[in-house]
Amino acid sequence: MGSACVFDKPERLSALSGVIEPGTFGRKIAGGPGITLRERPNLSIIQVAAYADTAEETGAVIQDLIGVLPPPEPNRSIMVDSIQICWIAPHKWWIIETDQRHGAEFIAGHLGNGAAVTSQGHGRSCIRLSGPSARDLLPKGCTLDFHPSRFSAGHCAQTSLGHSNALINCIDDEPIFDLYVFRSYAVSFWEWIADAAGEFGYQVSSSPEHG
Amino acid sequence: MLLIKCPWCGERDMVEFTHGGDATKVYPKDPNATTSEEWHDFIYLRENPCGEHVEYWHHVAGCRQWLKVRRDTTTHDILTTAPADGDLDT
Ligand SMILES: [Zn+2]
Repeated sequence: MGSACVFDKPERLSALSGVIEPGTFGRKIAGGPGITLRERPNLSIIQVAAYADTAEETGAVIQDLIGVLPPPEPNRSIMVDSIQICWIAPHKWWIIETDQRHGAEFIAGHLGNGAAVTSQGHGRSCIRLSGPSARDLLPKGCTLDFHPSRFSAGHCAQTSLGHSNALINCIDDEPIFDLYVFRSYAVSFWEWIADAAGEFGYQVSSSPEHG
Repeated sequence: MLLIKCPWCGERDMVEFTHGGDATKVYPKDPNATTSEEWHDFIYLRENPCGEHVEYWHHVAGCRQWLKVRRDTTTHDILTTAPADGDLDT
C-alpha cells in the first residue's frame, strides 16, 4: 500500500455506545452499591493458537515479547503491565491489551508458522464487574462455583453467562472480573447483567477511552 | 443435570456441552475400497445400547475441545471421559 490511503480509518465505536449510562441504579443499599459495572472499550484481543508440538516455543516467543509466559495450565490467566493473557484451549491463548502495544501482525511476525494468530478485539465486548456483591451476581446466570477458594485472581473460564457465551477472567481478589462476550450480544448481555445487579444496587462508571 | 468432566476444564454442567453422537464408529480405513454396505453401516447404523455407551461430546461453551464420554444410558452416570483422540480408562 502507498502512503496515501483512500479511506480514513473509521473511529472505533463500542457496541454499547449510547446504551450504557453512568449513574447509580437499583436497590438503595446502606453501605453503597454492591456492584460496579463499566465497559472496557476498544481492546486489542489477539488470539494465538499454537500446535501441540509448537506450544513450548510459542510460549517462549510470547514470553520474550511480553515478558511473561502464557499459562500452560487450563483456565488460568496472568496479568503483566495491564496486559492479560488467558488460557482459552490447549496451547491457545488470548492476549488482551488496552492499547495496541503489540498488535496481531507484530505477534504473528515473531511466531511465524508455529501458531495461527487472529485479531478478535473487534468481535468482543468487555464489561468489568466489581464490588462486594460481584460473587453473588455471577451465579445468577452461570453454573460455575465462584467461591473465592475455587475462582480467584488468575482463574479464567469460558462458560455460559446470562445465556451468552462468555470468558470470565478474575484479575483481582477484591474481586474484579472482566467479562468478555460477543460484540453482537453485548446489548443483550448488558440488559441481563444490569437487571441481575438491581437487587444489589449498582453503579455504572463511565468508561475511559482505553482500558 | 449431568456434570461432565472435561479433560481440560474439569467438571462442568451439561449446558456447556453438545452431544456429538456414537464414538464407537471408525471411519473406513480405505474409502475407495469401502463397499456401499460398509458406508451405509458407518453412516447410518447405530446401536441403541441399554447401559454403557461411548459417545462424543463437545465442550462448545467452554474450551471447545471434543471429548469421549462413557455414559450409562439407563442411569445417565458419566463413568469416564477422555480427549476425543485419547483412550477411556476401562
Ligand atoms: Zn473444556
